[in-house]
Amino acid sequence: MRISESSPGTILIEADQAMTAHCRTVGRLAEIAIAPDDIGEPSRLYPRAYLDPAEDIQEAVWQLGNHERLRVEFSEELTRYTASLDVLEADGCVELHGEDADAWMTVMNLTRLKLHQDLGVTDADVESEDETTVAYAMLYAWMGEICDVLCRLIAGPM
Amino acid sequence: MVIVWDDPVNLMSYVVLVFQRLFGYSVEKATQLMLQVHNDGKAVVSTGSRDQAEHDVFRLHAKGLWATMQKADE
Repeated sequence: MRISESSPGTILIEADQAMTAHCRTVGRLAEIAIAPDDIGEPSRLYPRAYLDPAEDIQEAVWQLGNHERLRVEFSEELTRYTASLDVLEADGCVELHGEDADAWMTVMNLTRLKLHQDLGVTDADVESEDETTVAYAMLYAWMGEICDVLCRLIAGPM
Repeated sequence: MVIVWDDPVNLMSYVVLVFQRLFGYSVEKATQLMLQVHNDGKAVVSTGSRDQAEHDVFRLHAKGLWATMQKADE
């Protein structure tokens, strides 16, 4: 998989079918991650906005007014991500502009948050003796690398 | 005021970019805030009215950062 800046503001992603399949897996995990099951429960994707227990009423109002809105935003990002994967699968490459590149970063990041929250995955788990743990850790690290490259390309030279 | 809390998942480069994008901060200020979050566990990233704080917290949550809001004198 190769990620580069094809022109100012445009990110070019090139990938073979195997890497595209990995990206599809991320999309399916992201779909699970943003599922509404988490709404109403404190979680990393739908966290509290007020920490003080004395503000539980404000927090409840906040959650009612915003968590569904948040899920819709996540869902829109996932839709953008999935649409770009369709192009990647067909052409072997895809150009990402503005919101599409943001969608890739957001989807990778949300999926990492969910893996960490639910399974406790960290970068250090690649050293685990458990094969499943190692597989999750490698995916977690891979998504982090993609997210980091995209951030640096989008931010430009420091 | 709006506080962003440290977590072990979000990448430093990602947090800096989010601060730049959402608040229009320079890369220097965004990096300084990110390091404060990383080293101290949290940082105040914006202040203003309650409406503005709610808007900022929502945008930060939408980017996967853990942000909370509280009155400035707390």
